[in-house]
Amino acid sequence: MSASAAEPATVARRGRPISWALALPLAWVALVVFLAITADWIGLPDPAAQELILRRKPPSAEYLLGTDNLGRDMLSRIIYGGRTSLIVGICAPFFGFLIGGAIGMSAGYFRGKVDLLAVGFIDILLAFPTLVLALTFVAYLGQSLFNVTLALGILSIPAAARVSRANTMAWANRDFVLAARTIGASNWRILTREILPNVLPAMFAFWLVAVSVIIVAEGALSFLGLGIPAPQPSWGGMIADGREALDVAPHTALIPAAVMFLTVLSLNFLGDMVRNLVDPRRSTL
Amino acid sequence: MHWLARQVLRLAVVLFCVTLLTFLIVNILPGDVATAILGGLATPEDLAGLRADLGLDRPMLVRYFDWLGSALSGDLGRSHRSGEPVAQAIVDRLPVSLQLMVMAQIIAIGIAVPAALLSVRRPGGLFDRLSASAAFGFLATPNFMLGILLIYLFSVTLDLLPATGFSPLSEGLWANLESMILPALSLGLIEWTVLMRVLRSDLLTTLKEDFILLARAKGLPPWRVLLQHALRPSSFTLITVIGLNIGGLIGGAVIVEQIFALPGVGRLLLGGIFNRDLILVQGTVSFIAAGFVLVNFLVDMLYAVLDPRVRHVRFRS
Amino acid sequence: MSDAASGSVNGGPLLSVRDARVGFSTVRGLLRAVDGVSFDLQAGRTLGIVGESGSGKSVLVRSLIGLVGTGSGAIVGGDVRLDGQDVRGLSARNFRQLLGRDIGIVFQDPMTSLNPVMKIGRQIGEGLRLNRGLDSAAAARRAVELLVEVGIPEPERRASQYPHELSGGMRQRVAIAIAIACEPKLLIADEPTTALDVTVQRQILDLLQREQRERGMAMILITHDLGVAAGRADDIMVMYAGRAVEMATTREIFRGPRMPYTEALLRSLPRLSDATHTRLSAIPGRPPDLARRGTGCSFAPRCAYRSACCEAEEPALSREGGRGFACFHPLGAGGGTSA
Repeated sequence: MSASAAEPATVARRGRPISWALALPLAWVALVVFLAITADWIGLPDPAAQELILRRKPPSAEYLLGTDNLGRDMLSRIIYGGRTSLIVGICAPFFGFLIGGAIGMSAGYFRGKVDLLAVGFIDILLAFPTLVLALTFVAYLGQSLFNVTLALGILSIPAAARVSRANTMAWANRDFVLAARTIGASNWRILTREILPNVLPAMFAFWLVAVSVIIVAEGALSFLGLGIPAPQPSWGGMIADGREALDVAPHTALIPAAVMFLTVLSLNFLGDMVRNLVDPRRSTL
Repeated sequence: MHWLARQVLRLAVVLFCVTLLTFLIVNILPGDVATAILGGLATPEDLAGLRADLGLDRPMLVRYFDWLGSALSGDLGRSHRSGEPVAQAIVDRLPVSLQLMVMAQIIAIGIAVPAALLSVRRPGGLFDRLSASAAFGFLATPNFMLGILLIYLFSVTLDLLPATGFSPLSEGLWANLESMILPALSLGLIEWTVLMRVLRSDLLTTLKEDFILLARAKGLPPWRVLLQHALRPSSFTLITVIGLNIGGLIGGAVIVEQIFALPGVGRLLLGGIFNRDLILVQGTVSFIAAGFVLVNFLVDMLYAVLDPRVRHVRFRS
Repeated sequence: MSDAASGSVNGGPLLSVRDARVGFSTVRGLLRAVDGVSFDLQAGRTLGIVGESGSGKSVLVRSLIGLVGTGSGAIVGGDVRLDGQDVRGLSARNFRQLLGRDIGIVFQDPMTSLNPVMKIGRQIGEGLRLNRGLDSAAAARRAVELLVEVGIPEPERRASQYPHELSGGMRQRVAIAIAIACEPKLLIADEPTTALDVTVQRQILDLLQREQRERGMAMILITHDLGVAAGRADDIMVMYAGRAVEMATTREIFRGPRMPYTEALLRSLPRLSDATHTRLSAIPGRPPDLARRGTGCSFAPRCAYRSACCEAEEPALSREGGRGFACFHPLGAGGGTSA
């Protein structure tokens, strides 16, 4: 019985106070999501409507965030751009995790040839620098919301596969899985009933992180002109447009940049918190 | 099979698959190439003729192996736009991209290592919390956004540095650095966050070891304990992370070269994509991907050299 | 009981500890790892500190030399004097100098106490360069000499090797070389043989004893093995639950312990003179939770001689002649009635 006094017991933290640290990011993300959903119904000016006379105007009473270099209302462009970013940011990793998760779980559970194939496939995908692959995909598949989502989704497959594979391997050898096998449960049943519920929390935590990564990736693609095609607003595209006017009308670039930054920061924060709650290393199972 | 031979074989297979995949993606719509070159007003006969010339009517795999054969002997074809050999174009621009990435990495390490060491001196103290917050903030910043911000700050507002353009070393070291510092910062100021976190975590673990206690028992001052005893065992993960991040660094270089108009490989690639220059894109992407695979391979080897245990694990699996 | 050999400046004890305390703040309350321990150590003598795991012996000694981790919420109290000088009152820099020059430490596990990525010679020479001002060439030479002294063959070759290239016993010899390099006045050995093979244990203990005698150092030998303390220590201090419960010379303890815990420890030692198939006697029960100090003697729940007063009040360390013991019913002359 060695309660070696040289190692003090760790001080456990009981309860999480609802602090500013949690409330602010949550509020921001909620705002973005809310505006993205209700964009069509709150009476925003048409984001594509150009008023060249009014170009590059700083924020004013009429144009809350000013106008861009083609005279379009920045506020509505940002809100609609947020909608685009969110759609891509949520759907792409979801798609990736669906497929990647399936691949990973199969690899981790069946091992052998399946594992070899899966790992090989993952390695090939990972052998490309991510952005380069995304660029090539979109360039040659054609630019559209769907293609961008698809391309970014495919790129998140390796990460998802790795997480689910590692977690599956950790769980597949546990006794309760063996027990299920001995009572004659089929592989499918074991995978869905026993392993999936245990792998899901880790996957969810990773998904949250992936959302912010994909939003940035979509921003990068749009910034380069290879993301969402022109008239549809996107934060990355707005930043690229604003770049030319940095000396005369910096708000056209800086405002969308700030919005994107705040969104990604908030998502990262929330993702961190969720991960702290859900991290399998802390589980008491 | 001997472990090293297995690794090299694996490398070859990956390279093969990577170039094949690139070829397939780029050639998904072969018809466009001919149209892109000749324009929309070309007659179908002209288009067909050009396709035959370029060998676009042959089966995909045949074309791939043809390309592969030439590529292995250094010939990556000629660009449609400029007629310049692709391989030459890449080689001309490679130094710029390399300089950018190396400078970014140096900046990142130069910030991360002192930040980690200072954080670890008093874990949970003021500096630790500040640097953790700073790391969190910078990590959430997309590199293109940071680039724009830096331009706004240093070029537009303070007028200290050029916003775009590249000065080669031949025009003087100072001019060269002036044109490269903002681009390198755009990448390095984000990269450091990951490096610092990893190093800090590793240092904290190392500092709990008994040999650190013994070093303190010898009467060594804390900074010496950190530098001479704790740093070296903790740097293994740092090296691994640097290796893992190179892919992101390459992608970042593409963006940054575009923002700052640097004549690097990334900008070449983008130009090729916009111009529908199929052969150029194919060669460039293959080159980048192959280079990336090779660098990863070397990092793996380096790690095995540094830590003999890794060799045994790999061999057994 | 004083040895006039090197060390003690004014004839008093080399090391003097009064009311040493170490507490850790934990979620369960203040964990008293060391709860008021006092002792003296004369130059040239060996003090064996004996106790079970969790008795506080390691924490006590580490707190004396300021090596209790500062980040772990440790609260350290008490008065410590080395050669008459107040150790706790020193500035950080002076304290480090004292530590490096006058105190040498050997830890339990030489696999973890040596830096795995630094060469042996350099690790030995480090203290010399820092504390005795030797340059690297002189330090390297001295390191080789020290390796010879601790009995390592092929010292030049070994000096440029790394710890994992040596066997466990050799690594501990290296650790001893590091500890004695700067010719300290006090040598502390914290369970120096626990991590070693039985065959090697004796060699290491012999080496420690020889070095101590030749250099006239005072030594603190921490061990959970009373048998080890028997052969090597002049005085023994028995610790239980963070307190010193018995202190006497080794002879006195083995001739007649006063505190029942000590007696129980002695009884649990297997002896060659025992008949075959003799049952090993163990002490029933477990050591107390150091965060929940009740009233009364902390050994009482496991003591065969306890009575009502034992559970009500904590016995203080009473002195008798040169020895001390903390018990209401001390064994031997004048006590020891069963409950």
